[in-house]
Amino acid sequence: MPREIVTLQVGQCGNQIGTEFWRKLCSEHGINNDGIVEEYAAAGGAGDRKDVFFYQADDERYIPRACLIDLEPRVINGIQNSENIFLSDHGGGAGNNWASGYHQGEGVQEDILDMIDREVGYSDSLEGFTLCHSIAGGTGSGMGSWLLEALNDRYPKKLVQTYSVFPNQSESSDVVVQPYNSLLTLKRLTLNADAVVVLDNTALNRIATERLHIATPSFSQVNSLVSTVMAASTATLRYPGYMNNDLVGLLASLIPVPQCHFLMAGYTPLTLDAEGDAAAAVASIVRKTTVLDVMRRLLQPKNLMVSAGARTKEYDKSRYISILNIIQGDVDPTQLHQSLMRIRERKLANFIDWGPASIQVALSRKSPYLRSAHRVSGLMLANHTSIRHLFNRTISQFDKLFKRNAFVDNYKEFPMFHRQGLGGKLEADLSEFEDAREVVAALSEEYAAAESSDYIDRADGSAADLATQLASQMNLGAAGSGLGDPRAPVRA
Amino acid sequence: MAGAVPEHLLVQDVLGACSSLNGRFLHWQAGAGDLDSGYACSRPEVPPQQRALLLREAEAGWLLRRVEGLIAQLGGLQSVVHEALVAAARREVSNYYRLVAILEAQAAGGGGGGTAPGAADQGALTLRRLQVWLSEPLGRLRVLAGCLEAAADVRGGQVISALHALSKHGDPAVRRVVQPALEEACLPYFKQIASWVLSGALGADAEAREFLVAREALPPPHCDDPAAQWRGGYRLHPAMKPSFVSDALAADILTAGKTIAFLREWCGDTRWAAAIRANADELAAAGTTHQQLRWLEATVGEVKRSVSAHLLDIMMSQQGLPRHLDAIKRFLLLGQGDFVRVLLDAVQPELDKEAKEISQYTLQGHLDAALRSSSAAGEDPDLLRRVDVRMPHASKLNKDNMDRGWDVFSLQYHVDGPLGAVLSPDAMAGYLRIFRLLWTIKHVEAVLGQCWDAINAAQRALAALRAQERVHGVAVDNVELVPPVLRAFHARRAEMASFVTSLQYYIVFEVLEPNWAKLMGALPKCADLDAVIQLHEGTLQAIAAGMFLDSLPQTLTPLELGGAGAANVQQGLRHTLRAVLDVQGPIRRLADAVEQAVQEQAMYVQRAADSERAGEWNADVYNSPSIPPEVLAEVSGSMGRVYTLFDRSLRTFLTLLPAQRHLDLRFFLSRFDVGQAEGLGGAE
Repeated sequence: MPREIVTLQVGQCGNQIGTEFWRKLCSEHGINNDGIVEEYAAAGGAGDRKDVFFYQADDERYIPRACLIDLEPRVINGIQNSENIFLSDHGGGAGNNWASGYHQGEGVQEDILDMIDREVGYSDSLEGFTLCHSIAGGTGSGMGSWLLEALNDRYPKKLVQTYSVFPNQSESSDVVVQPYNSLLTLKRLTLNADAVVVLDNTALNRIATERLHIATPSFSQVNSLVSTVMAASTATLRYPGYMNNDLVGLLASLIPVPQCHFLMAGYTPLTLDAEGDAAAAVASIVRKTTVLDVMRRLLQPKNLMVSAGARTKEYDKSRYISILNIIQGDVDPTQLHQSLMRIRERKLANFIDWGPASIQVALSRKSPYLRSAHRVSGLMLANHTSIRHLFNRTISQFDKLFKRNAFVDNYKEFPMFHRQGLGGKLEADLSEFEDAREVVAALSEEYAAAESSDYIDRADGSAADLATQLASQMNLGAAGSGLGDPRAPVRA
Repeated sequence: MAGAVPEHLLVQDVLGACSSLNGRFLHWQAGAGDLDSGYACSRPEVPPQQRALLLREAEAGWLLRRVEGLIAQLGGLQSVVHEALVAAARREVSNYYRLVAILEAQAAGGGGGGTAPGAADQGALTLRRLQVWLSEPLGRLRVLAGCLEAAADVRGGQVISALHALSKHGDPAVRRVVQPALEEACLPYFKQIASWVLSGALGADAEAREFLVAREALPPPHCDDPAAQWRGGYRLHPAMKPSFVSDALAADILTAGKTIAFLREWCGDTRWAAAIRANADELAAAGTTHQQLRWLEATVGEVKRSVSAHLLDIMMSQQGLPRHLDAIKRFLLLGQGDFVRVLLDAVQPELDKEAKEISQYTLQGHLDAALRSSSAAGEDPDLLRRVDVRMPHASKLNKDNMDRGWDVFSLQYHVDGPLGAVLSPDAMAGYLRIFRLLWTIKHVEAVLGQCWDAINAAQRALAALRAQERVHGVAVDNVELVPPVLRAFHARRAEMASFVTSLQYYIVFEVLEPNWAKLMGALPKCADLDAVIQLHEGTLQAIAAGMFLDSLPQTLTPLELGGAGAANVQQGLRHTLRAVLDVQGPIRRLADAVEQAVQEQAMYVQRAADSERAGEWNADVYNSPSIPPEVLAEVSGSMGRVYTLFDRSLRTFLTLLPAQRHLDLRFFLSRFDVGQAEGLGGAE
């Protein structure tokens, strides 16, 4: 009866990072390509839980709790270890068109939902879903968006967490409609997901070139970074300890207010699995890391897998809403609180002041089957208000295109973007774009509001009077401002 | 003067008196006691000078009688030490008799052929000569009588102490007498030491409480408890410790024998004998005396080390103490997170009931399922079967107090055999208290997680309401009032969650883990079982104190800490946690209200569609969906009360904390702004 998690991989990118993720999980748990536990891992004693992410078939093979969904066969055909594969009949993909992906999703919903139901049926107490996808293309974004809505509908009580790859915004993309796709997907990520781990291709490439010294990073190298983050963020679920043994606990501590559920990830020490000279060199440098080193490095923007691209002035105003560090490896717990104390004293992290906030730490074991050069490694999941600049950039890129009505014809073909006009004639209906823009703008504003200290108490709109009245009943009033005031609420 | 009484007659009389006979001139005059009795000379013809000599020399007779009286008295005591002493005294007495016989022979030879007094004077025994001859045996008898007297009113080890004190006398003549007596008396005592140290067996004299180790009879509930046996089954009897045996040696002696007895009685082990064979042979071969204390100390120390190491080996390897400690940490101290997660989920419906309605069998079933499903399931089934649900007996449940299941549920871990010496009932009671607090915190954490879910669901429902509103134009009244309330609820929940998380961090990273690491690190270095028990109890105490728990069972090794008002701190913590639990009420009601509005809206849309299809236009017939403002006001007020209670309890708790000076709470307090604002810097 573990709290199982079903992984849904949608689109080319989703399946690629998903594949890397499973490869990583299998090697951490000592499961070979056929789903059999390797001899060296058969004795147990690693204290790991495989059944959160795998189930055991009748023949004792471990099978990932995963559904692989794509509209073209290229990537999925390279993956053989899952039984739940959906490929569209025509294999034509979604042509980088969100609307096409969404529409195709609706068209095959029976098949896909059946497949998910079946997978859910294998679990005793499903905790939620993890979706891997990219928000820029067609399938991952469009079909992923449809899937998010469908999951909300079908499994309203289950958590939905996504690992969403954001497009590289620093260079001109080969997908010109990327801002459209991104914005439309962001709307669903805002409304229909409980938590989104933002993996920004801009930052991932920057990390690969600057930190790992790879001139032209390949897909698989970048995906390896992503899978490292995914594996580490699930470490406490797979290697249970005192705390953070369920997804809801992890997410609840990161997301105090549900609107702000976009998380940044940072990881250190950054290396690739490949046995390159460069990697070995890096490894030799960071080998003797302490917990304090790890936590300090995690707070450096260069290790973050998001490039919010905020200007310095704006960055100074931005705040951490929450930070969760998952530290893996050989850690002395007494070292831990000293390190936290140091970071606190030096004010290395700038937190919101409308609520209690501090760095939270989860300790997790490392897989005994992987030899690592690093004594300690750390993953940071952070809820940081600077992420709004990423949304703002998406909006501004969207506006540039949308102002000129560029490329909207591709979308008009699909039902969501047209309506029956007078006399049965189809007319374009672009209100979905506007609606999505509104949602994303509101999201950005929510994050901006979270930077100020009256975030919780602020009154919004016409209901100001009654809201204030209600708030005052909860002792919200003006208390909490004066530190010396003995009546000030304790910030726990 | 001459011719008054012939000298040789007097000499004969004295010698007779020396053998405690009556004579012509000297006769025994019995008094009330030894001191009032004595030889008296009632014949007037003995001149005063000779009479004085006569009486002085007759003291030997008095002493002999006294010694023999004491010998008879001590011989009747049936104590091995006394017997040995008596034997030594008898030897001394027979030496004395031999001397007297020689003197008598000499007196008879000299006196019988006494033709010429002048010539006879050359070799004959005179009273003066006799005085010289007798002075040494008289002294010896006197010392011997002193020895016996000193031993008369004491027993066992005390006899040896008394003799030892006498043997410290400055006069070598005295030492010459006491020393052999002491050595003789020591023999059985040291034999007992050897037998105890080498086989854990106590002889008759030990049963008579004359040995430095005594067996204690334990009252019935404890006689089957290895901890009580180990702790109180054998005790040092300090009064019976010979003064030359140091406290350290006495402790070693106790431990060595106790360990062997424990090995025999509780571990069914016999291999200890092989471990100490060399020492056993040595000890048996040497007739140990107090002269060889150094050697005895070394040997006993060696034996103690050998058998202790053997016992520890059994406890660690065969009985698997570390494995059990590990299991206790995982199951009772909730270290096995996935197990806890599953158990919490499974038992929640049952524990939400009133305590008296709970089925222990249901809980046991859930527990077994949770154990099977945890990643520990693959482990030794022997460990898993020891984990058990513990509920207070039905009669103990407070019928009026309406305890919830959460208040009474706990887990226990069964141990049997010699392990019980370490994992004693008292230690387990300590774990129980720690478990209860940890479990409460886990419960509170789980409830806060569910609240997060509920608020999120409400938030999503709200979004759905608005989407429907856009599509169908059916507005829900007052929906604009909900977001600020939701936001405030979120903030309150997050604040409480943050407190619970901080508390857990403190407990796990600053109390449990460091203390446990210390325990596991020091465990292999323990020299004997006592050290292990002390270490384990010390850890338990440190953890309990760190968690603000007080009043652990008194018998546990007390720590010299526990700041003022520990009970109040604990109370404050419990109130705070209880207040957090109450937060679910308003949150659930708010979520329900939003959920209901969603349904009303759907119904309204449906009806509107139906009537539209029917061609009617009666939108007024139905109430438009709304979220009643009074519900919002009620949940807000309720949340306000819950929060105030939480805030006040937390404040009380935090205010009391700095008094707990034995704890390093700096980091814990630094997580609360109040700590800095009010200058509560924590421990200095």
